[in-house]
Amino acid sequence: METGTIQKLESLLLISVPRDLMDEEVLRLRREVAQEVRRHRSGWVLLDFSQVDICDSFFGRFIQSMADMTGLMGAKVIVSGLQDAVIETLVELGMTLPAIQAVLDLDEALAFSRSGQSNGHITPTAPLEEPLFGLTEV
Amino acid sequence: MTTINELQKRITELETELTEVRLNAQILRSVIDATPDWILAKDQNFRYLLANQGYAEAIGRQPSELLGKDDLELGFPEELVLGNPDKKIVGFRTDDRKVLAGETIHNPYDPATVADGSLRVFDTLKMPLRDEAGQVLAVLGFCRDITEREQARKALNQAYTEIEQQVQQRTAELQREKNISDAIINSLPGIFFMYNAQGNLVRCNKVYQETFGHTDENLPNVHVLNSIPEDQRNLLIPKMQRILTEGGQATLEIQLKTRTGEHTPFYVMGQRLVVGEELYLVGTGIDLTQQKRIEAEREHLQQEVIDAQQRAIAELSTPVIPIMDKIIVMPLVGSVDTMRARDITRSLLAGISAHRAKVVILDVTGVAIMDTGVVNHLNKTIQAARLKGARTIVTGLSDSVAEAIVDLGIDWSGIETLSDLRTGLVTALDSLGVKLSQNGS
Repeated sequence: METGTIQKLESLLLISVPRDLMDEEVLRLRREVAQEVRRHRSGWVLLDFSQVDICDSFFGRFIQSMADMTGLMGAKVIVSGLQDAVIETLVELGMTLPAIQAVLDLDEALAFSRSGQSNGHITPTAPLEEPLFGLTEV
Repeated sequence: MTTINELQKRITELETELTEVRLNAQILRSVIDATPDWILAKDQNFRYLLANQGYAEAIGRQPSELLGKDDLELGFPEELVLGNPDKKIVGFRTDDRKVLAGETIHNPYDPATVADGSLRVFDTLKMPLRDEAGQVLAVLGFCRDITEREQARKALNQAYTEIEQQVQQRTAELQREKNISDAIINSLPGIFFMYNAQGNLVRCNKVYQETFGHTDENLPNVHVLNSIPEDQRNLLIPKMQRILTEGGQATLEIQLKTRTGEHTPFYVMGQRLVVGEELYLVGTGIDLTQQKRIEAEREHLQQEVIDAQQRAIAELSTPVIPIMDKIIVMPLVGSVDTMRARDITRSLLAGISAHRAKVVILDVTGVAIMDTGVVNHLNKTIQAARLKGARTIVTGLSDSVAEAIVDLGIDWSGIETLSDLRTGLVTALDSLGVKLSQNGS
């Protein structure tokens, strides 16, 4: 059974989480991620959930524990592509993943990791490449 | 001498014979006198040769008094004896003449007045009495009093007629009742049925016939199972048996197999009917097809209206306004309850995806009441937006609301608030690295 693809992109480890993960597969995926983080000395772990459309409390704890674990290994977790229904469930379960940076999709995740930000808020130091609506940058 | 002896011997013989004959005559006399029937004989001049005790008593005389007299001399009325065409009385003598001419007359119904004045009815047989040469000597008559028998017969006839009338009357009543009940069951809007304990159809109405397509000829062969689909039998048969054994009634909705073989929904009411020793299952049923369709249509229409209204309300109450690239504004108006909060969250998440927003400005100027519940809802919305990668700024808290929040001790931490929409927008742009020049240059 495929437990998700783990790819290394620059300093970032991209994990595409497949839909319909069984509980034991989740645990295996977590172990594999830990091994890969150690191997590549990645600074960021990007979990892409765009294929996941069903969520339960175990799954929410999986995300949280993954973040805690990779944090211990010196990497930060970005979560991307959470679907609306999954978010609703997580919020209802009270699993708001406070320590984790969430972004809309992979594009945003890449931009975010490149900007090198490590705090929770989106306050990029690097200015955007193009001014918005012709507004002048200062 | 021998002649005298012989004669004497002959006399003795004759005397013996005479004694025997007398004895026989006596026996015969006793026999004819013993019978209640009348026995009489008249000679060619209509004078009595013989009359038994029964006859003599009936006319109030002794048998011996009658001998040698005719009917007129015995005091019978002239019209009875000689006849009276005006009264359609034939007369004894007319009959007697016919008999003397060689005829036998049998009159099974012959009314006559007897000595005590009462009217009796007789069965009369008159026949010719012939000598050895075959010549008619006299009229021999036998009359049997059949008054009682006739009365009994008449009474029987009358009783029979009465019974017949009653039967006819009852039949007419039954027919009328049947006509009434036919009219009743045929006027029912639904089916009517009556099955016996074996499940055979005993009676039904026109609607039943039409619904299940039975002609008048095959009605006697219709069985209850004809109209029940196989998959309904397990449900229905125990129910029917229970009604038949325990009585009571039942109502249920079932599918019945109609003329076309289609399964049609029916609302059926059934109950037990006991007629004498026989048990019947009677009931009515209404075709629900039309009703179901109308109901479904109405429900569908109602749902459509509700959906449309809900969509309109949702759109109106949770508008997402993209005011700049990566910035959306969501003004909230009215009260925020659980349902509304869910709509807000969904709408906001969809808005973030659609506009690729990084900052959401949630303007609560229009929210009248801000309590713990509302704050919890807003918190969830903000967390959801964060998981979608957007930062939320709440603006438009009025001073009175701010006061209420503090007084109520509501935990507002973790929610970034700014005074008004303008400030919020500046902050949002700032967080995206865009600075607005205040003087518009």
